[in-house]
Amino acid sequence: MLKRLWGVGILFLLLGVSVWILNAGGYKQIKQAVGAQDNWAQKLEETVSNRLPGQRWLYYLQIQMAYWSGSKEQNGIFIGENRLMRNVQPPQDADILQNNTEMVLSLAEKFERPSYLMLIPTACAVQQSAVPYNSVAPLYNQRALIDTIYQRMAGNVTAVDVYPTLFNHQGEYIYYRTDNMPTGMGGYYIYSALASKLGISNVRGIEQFSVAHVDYSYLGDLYRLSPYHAVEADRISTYQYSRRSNNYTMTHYDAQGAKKYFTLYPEFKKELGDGMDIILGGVSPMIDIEIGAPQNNLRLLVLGDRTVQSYLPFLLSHYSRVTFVDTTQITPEILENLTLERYSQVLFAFSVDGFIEQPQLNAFAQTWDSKHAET
Amino acid sequence: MAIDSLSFLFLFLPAAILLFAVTPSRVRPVVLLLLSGLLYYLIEGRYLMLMAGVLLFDYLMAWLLHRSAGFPLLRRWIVFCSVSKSIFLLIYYGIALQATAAHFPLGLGIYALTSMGYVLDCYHNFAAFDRNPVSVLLMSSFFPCLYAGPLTQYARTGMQMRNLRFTWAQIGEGSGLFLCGLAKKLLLGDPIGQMLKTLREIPVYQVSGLTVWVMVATLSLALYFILSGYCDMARGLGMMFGFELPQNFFYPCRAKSVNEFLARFNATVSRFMRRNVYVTLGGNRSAETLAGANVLLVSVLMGLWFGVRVNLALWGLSIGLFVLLEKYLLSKFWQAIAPLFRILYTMAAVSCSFVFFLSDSPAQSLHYLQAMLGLGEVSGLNSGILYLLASNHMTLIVALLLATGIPHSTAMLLKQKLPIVYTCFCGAGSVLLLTAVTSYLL
Repeated sequence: MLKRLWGVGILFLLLGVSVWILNAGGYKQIKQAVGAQDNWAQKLEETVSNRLPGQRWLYYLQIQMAYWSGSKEQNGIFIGENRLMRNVQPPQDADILQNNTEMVLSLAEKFERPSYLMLIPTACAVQQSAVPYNSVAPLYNQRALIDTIYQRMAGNVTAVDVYPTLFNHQGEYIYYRTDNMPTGMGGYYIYSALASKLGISNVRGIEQFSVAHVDYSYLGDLYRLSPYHAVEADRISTYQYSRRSNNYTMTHYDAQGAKKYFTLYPEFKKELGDGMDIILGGVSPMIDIEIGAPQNNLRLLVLGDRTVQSYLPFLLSHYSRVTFVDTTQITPEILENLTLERYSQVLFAFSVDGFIEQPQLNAFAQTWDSKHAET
Repeated sequence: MAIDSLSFLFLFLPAAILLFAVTPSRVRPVVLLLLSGLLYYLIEGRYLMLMAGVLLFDYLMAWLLHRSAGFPLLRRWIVFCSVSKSIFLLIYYGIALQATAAHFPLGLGIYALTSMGYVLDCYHNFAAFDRNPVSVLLMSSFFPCLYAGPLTQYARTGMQMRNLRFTWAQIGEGSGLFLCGLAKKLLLGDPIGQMLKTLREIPVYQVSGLTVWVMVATLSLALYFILSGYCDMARGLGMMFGFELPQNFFYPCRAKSVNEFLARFNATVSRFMRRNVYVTLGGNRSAETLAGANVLLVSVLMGLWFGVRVNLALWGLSIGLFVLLEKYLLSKFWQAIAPLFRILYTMAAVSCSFVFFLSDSPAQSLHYLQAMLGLGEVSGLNSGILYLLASNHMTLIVALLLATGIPHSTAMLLKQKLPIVYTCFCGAGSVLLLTAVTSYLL
């Protein structure tokens, strides 16, 4: 009797799923798939897959089963204890790294002012103990790469080594769990290593900044890339220098024109979707920040990437003006708003993975050269 | 539409079972034959004509044998035609595949040898000529068998196909076996196969002895779970449609000799070769030298079963040499050796022979063997391989446990002692397996 029930149950289960698939237009889609000239079997399979009941749940089950089987790297992302980390591997195209390094040297030479290079290691290089199977995981030696690049800079560009500081604080919340960049706390430690190199004598202690937690449910890029989602959301925190109330005029330049903000942390941005956009209003091709009642006349130009959101808020109190340029997004029209002669220092600041994988400075260099060729 | 696909599982199979259930029992074999033909056509297209041609040719040969009872010379020629047709097709497509990357028709080896086996059985009077061609054709062309077997015999299977019964109990048990096979293939065989693929990308000169051992172990597990998975799927579907197919894999890692390994690994092919090649050529009754040569021939053919390649022939040859070693040198004191050491020897011998299976050329095999025996230049396991093993450790642990057969023995004990609990467990397990394999098929 039980065996009969077993048989009946299984057949009804299979039939139930079939009916679900064929229902509400499913039959037509399947007929279309079967009638396709090429790859009809693949199209049929995709149609059935898309129409399965509980398809999303089944997909997460697949990911979870892969995780249980021991696979803690999926889609190039390490799945650690309640965190995700991007697995940075040696560059496929060695020319990109070479090109970026030479661009830094070339631009520093053209700028003719104190220039600094800061390469920020990623989480898997700093928090290696959190990498699954870390004793055997094939991790790329970012430390050695940073040293090699800095050796090439010697005498031309001042290298800023943030690795030791970050490594010494690796147990703290210095990298986001779901995003491939440092947190505000990580940004503070980057600032503390950077400040002395920039000639800032009065490096502020963390207690001099008031912290506000503006978002507890941030899910970053790694969360979107990784199929595994059983990871706690991130907390986004803002840091304001509390010893003096500074007025900030922050101007974002993008394809739509210029937008002005009078705060570093426009909280309304969270309502528009991305919690990270609260910090400095997001990353536009160019962001110009004027500090009201500055302590000096120093101006800093930062050529970099989105890691600027972590450390820049701490640097602002030491300058009268800081301009950030996202070197991969900049256009000639936006660059018209930049006058290099006004700046006392230039900082090249990139995340290691971006520096080895993408041409960071080509677009900026071409735009710069064409602008200066005209003048 | 392969049998390990969502469209087969949720569209074709339920419809096929329903159709089978409502069809009168006399017509069921025809329906099943048509369904097998339809599935084959959906995958292989015009190669259905090749299959139909081969099967009808052999059926005709069997009929001619039936009509030529008193003409021994003619009967031998008829058998010769059937055998040479099968060998020609296998060699032609096998060599064409190697030389020009041409398409090797799905199941060619299975249906050609099964139908040839029927002709040979008729010749030896092990089977009577069946006037109804449907059961003979169905036996050879039953679709799920065409992936990896099992090879069937008319006396065992063909007779069952004359009268196919539909029972709910068989649907339940058959579906459980089918899902077990599908799970073996998808959850264990394919991931381990992927591991092997990654390991094979390591340049030959960088491979250490330990790496080769890991490669051989993953090859053995991947082969076992993929092939036995397909066979279990075939057996499960056969059960659902009212007939029983023979088991093809009997936990080969439990073998206490290489000879026993052959009886446990791809057993139906081994039996086919022994019956139709070894025994026909004299078997144990012939002189020792000839018997030894027959053993080697059979083992080489077992290697060529997996493909027409030099390395596969060498694999078979190496297995055959171990069989001869056991038969003529070790037999005197074999039983005195503790079973554990016999199992370890068998695993070592089979692993060494699998090096040929693994490699693309004899030179590569030699390099791997040297490394395996500690004569290579590279030593140790690099961290990349350790990482690969760590990233699949649970899959490997489960695979090793299942390969021993301990869970199966436990289940059989439960079936014996507590049949109701066993049935409930199987029912619930079927649903869980269905969910798991569906998620993997997405």
